[in-house]
Amino acid sequence: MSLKSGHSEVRVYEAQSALREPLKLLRSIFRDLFGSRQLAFTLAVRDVKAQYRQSILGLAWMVLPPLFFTVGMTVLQRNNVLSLKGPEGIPFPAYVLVGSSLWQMFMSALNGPITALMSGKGILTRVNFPRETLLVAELYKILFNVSVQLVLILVTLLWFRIIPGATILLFPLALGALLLLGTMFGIFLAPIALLYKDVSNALPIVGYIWMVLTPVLMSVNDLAPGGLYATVVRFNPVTPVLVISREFLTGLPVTHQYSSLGVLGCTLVGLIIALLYFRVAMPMVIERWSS
Amino acid sequence: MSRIEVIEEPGDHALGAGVDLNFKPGDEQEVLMEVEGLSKRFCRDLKKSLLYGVVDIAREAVGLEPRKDWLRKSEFWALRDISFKVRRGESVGLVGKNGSGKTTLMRILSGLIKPTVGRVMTKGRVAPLLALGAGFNPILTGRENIYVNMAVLGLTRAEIDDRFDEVVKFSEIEYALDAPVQNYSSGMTARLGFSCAIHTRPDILLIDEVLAVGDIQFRQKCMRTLNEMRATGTTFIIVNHAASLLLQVCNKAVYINTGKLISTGEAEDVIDEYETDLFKGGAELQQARKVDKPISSDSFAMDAVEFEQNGDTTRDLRTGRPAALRIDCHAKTKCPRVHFTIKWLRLPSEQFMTGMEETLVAQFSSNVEKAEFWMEPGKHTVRLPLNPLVLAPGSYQVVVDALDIDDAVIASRRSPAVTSLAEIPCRHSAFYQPHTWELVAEPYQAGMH
Repeated sequence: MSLKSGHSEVRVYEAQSALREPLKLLRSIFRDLFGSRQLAFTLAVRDVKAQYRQSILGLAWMVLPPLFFTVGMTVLQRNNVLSLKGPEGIPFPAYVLVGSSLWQMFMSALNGPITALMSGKGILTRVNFPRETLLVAELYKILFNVSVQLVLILVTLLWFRIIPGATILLFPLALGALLLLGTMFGIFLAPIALLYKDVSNALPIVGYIWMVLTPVLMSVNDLAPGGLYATVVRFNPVTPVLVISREFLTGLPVTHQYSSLGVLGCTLVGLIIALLYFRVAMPMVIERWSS
Repeated sequence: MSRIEVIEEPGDHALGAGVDLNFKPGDEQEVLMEVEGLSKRFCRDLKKSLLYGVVDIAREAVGLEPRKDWLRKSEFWALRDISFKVRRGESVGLVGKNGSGKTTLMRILSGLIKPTVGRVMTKGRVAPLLALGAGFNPILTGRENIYVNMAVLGLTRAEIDDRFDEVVKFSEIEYALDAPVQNYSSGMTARLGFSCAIHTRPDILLIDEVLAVGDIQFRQKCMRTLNEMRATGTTFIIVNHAASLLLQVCNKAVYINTGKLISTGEAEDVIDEYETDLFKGGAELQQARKVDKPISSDSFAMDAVEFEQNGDTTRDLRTGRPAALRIDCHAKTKCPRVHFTIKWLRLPSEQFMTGMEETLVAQFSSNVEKAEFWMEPGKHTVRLPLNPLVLAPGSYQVVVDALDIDDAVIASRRSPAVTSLAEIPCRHSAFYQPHTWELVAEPYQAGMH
């Protein structure tokens, strides 16, 4: 067999921080991100296959939790345990389903990098491949899950005879902003989460508090203006992108367009910083994992 | 059973047909790996290690230079100031006691962790065999895992499609290709992992103690493939404790102890030094190892001692079939009445362990068998047809001593380790006795006993 290869890439591993030349580092990160899209896809397909090979209900597990959450909330609301109504023109169950699904998508994007790296421990400690691949693979998986959930949402909207307007064409952009925002937070948390279990333990609690501070079940207009709670909700970065995603999807009048664009801009800048940080942090994490 | 014959062979003749282990790459060979002043700091205390990790990440993230040459509490140097170069086609054995930093060095060379001080340059595709089948998903089938594993090692889908059949053929697990990998035995997983890794056609292979898995036949196949790969310009670095294995495949060696570089250079010298340190006081072992180095005199030398079967030089023999032992020698002066003593040694069954006894299983002397040779100056080949080979399955080496007219040893050489496998099971046998079974047409008659 011929074992010669024409490939003669030179790699240099040095003690100096790669951050001394941030542009060069950034270029290599984007080259790796682009170069590993096929690998990321292969890994995502592998995980999705493995996930459903050991399950009878399969894809149903993607839609059952939000469905039952919605049923529960609706029971509470019908019996006046919850005083939420949601806005005019949209039935409460549809409103809850859309809001809680969008929140769930944000949280899965936030958890994504941590989950991906934890389950990739085996290859991370043994093969040197672009670590960003795992992040991209996780995003592919999230997109897959999200599209299954969107089918449920669209069926529900049609069931309640809610016809989205032309703004639905902008929904993918808003959803993208929501997922990237979650991913950015996730990337910042991941290296520390891989060292200290405390981060993973705290995440459900933080997620719960964060959800309370986000208009997932209620409308921003329902809040008494000027109160401390309303102010916190307003400055919560998830608020505008989640609200506008819901509005695009359900055909409600659009609010928050400027703040959403602002959040999107900050997210993109934040993501670049997050990727730089990720690149320099990962070798140290891998070293502590197995030394 | 064995007969010694001498074949005059005038003119030049290449050593052996296999891979030339004395291959000495000149300076014109391309440097594929360069390690300069490499040091690595580790922490013994887990809690502190995690804390230092967070501190280091924070320092890097704000762009502060890492502090060099400085140990914090509970830290130590896992590697200290290591420098060496590896050229194309060289094969380097990395030796050292447990905990001397071999694995750490391999992990830095493969780019998994960063040096604390110093620099590492690698050129070309690097395939780490630090753990076979990293990235195998137990739920998925072998077929699916080949795609995932080779993709992780850096191949595109089209390249994997191209090489898929070769990978399967080499691993010899066609029959289980569509079963989930969790049902594979560890040997099968190792076969698949090794096959995936070598078919990425790397320029540099890093092999950390993974050759010890799999059955002996597959290990031999791995060794053969590694030798072939080296002949076509692949460089490897191998960590293994078995000197005999390293000497079979490596021409250079690097010896480290407690993180410091002790010596680098020709494999035989460095491994000798390592074993001398390892067995200080164990004179016997040193004595045994000394034999490994061919000894020659002013009048006579042996260039190779090799086995042949089916007309090829081989290290994989089949018991029960004809084979031959070949001694390539050259007389520097006129040597009257040269004769040979051949000792057959059976190696410990686990050839990856050192320190176990080898046993003498047979010995023949040509002068006792009235075979002495008059050798004119020049090259000669002495051949011993073995019809058939009767060795029980196992690993063997022969030590050949050449003696002159006064019974003084004028040269000595040890063959490479060879493995014999039996086609007919003879596990409980000390040797294979050639035989046949027949039902005799005329039965015995009463009263004959």
